[in-house]
Amino acid sequence: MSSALLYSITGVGLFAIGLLGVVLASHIIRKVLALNVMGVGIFMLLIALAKQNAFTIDPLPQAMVLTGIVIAAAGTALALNLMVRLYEIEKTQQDKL
Amino acid sequence: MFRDIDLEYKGAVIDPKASPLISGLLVAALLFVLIWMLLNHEVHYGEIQHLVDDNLNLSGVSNPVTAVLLNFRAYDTLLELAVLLIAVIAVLPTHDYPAPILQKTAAAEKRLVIIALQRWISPALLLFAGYLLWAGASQPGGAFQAGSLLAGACVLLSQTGSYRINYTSIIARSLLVVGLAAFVAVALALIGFAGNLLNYPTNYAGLIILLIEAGATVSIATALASLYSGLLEPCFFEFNRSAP
Repeated sequence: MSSALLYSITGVGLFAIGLLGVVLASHIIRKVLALNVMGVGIFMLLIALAKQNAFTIDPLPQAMVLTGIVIAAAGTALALNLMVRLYEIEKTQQDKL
Repeated sequence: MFRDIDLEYKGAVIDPKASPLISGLLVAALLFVLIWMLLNHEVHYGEIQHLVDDNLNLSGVSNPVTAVLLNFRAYDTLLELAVLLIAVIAVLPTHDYPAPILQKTAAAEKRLVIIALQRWISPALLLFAGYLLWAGASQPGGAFQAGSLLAGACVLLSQTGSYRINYTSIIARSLLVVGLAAFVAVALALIGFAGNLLNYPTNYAGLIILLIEAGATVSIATALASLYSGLLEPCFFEFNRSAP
């Protein structure tokens, strides 16, 4: 078993753990974190597949991952901001009741 | 403030949660299929790799990842900067808060360790970000890494508590769009010169890539830092909304 294959399988495993978290977690922070674990798993799979043999590395998956990390960070920040806004709305509604 | 956030579902349905057993079995089946495919199928052939290697001398840079990001698949990076800008627009308040971009505030408590750390690390971060931006042409590095470092410097600055960055000021908003604006300007100008969107002339490709990367670095740094500040200081935006 080559190390690239080991990393690929680890990436798939991380994806599965994240998917389970998204489905099962009931708290929004946990859901967002689980989505991030899924994303990390996909990045890891892409990076592992980019290394075909010991000498050359395919630059295309690496560029995709580089783009994806920034987008994932921005998406997480957007989700957390929406969560804070939701919390504020819930709080004002509970105060009114 | 995150400690008292409680957003768990407490609605009318008695058991809204997915069954752990069924979900676990389904995910395990998916995991099994995916690993079976990884072991038994060649998922990736690397044909495009030869295409990149053969055309690398036309791209203006010698690092293949940078060549893919900013020349061969520049569309992706253009759209990525647009997505980043949209995320920031969704988070930032709509109207300006009348304050300079960097404001010294009276700190309630002096966080001496963070202040000292910031004074020592910030200049090094600036220098290293500039180096990463320059090194991106030939080595691992480039706009994303440099932008993240600069964003980290901004976050560290706001963590000291004695400075407040106003991301709604006109300067900050200009910094947010400068990367996308430079990219779109280059793309439109190239329609006139080369006849194609983002088809760089070989002689100037290196210069164009450096120009776009410099703009993108500033935009990525400001965007990430502003997204983070919206999370850290919701009270700032609260204050912002009630400001005249």
